[in-house]
Amino acid sequence: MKRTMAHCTECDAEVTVPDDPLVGEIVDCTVCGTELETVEVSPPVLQRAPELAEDWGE
Amino acid sequence: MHVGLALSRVRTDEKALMRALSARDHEVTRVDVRDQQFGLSSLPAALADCDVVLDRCLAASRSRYLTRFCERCGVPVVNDAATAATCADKVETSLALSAAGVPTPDTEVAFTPDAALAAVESFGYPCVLKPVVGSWGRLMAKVDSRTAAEAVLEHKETLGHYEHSVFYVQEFVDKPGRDLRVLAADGTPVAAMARSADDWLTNAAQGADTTPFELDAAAEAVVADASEAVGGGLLGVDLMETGDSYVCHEVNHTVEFAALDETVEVDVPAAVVDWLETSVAGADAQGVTA
Repeated sequence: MKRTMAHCTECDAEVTVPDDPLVGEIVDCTVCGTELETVEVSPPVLQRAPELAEDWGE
Repeated sequence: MHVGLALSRVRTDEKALMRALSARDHEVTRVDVRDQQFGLSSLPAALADCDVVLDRCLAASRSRYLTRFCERCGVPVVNDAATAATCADKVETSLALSAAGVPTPDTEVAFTPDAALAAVESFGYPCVLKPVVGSWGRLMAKVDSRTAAEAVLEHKETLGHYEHSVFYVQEFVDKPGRDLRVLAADGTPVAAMARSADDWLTNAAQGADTTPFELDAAAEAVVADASEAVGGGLLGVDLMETGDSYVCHEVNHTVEFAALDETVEVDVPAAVVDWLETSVAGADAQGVTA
């Protein structure tokens, strides 16, 4: 799969994003481990994802 | 078919669903529920004209209300509000399963730590304490001793949220190192897998190993009955093997299927779309003849 790059909001490392990202999709920063939410797709912009809430799940 | 996909976080599951729906030329409108307002008699415009809304909310609280608003406005929603309310709460799920005669682990509910401790002692050790709302195995406790029970109960009482003061105590089922996840559509299994782990928790989200599982007639019957007990729909029914039978310990109403899809040969997203097409067509036919 072709990938594009964005930047981690926490450590500024380059983060790979799938070439078909969707708003709301989560990517992990492989450098600092932060979960990042895709908030814009063209070009991809990431922000720190919301913390896990107690009622999340299936 | 115009499908509204109501969600916040886009998981692998949602991407797979969108691909499967688009491959059949269905119109998909993705709606981030975090951006919406829900009036008492009108849905957000993006959802109002959908033939069906798929509730893929990550948060159980949002799921419960979203489904109510859809039904209030006459837009079919999968799963429906009654099913969401039952499955989002373990007490409600246990009551529904028990009332329908579905085999399920023995469970007691208490409202104070002292009463909960008495329930724990009546079960003996080990037994299990679970939050009434939650998923992915979070905050589940296998309690091996009275001192451990006292500690967990004290922690729960001080966690802050009132739901932690509803103490859900359950017998420990000595399963064979695995449990079973069945994706069922109106009670009919789509696919099943076993989830194995060295830990007592065997959730796929906790990293359990998954293998395909062939259901026998007894398991299929429990799945069908469990589905009916909570109102049917597209469900993740979790079973434990008890030797010659099965118990149902959980039914999930916004079921994740990415791990299942990777495990079995069935094209799970396509099977979900098959069922959705049939369900919507059936609802349309009922509407025409009503």
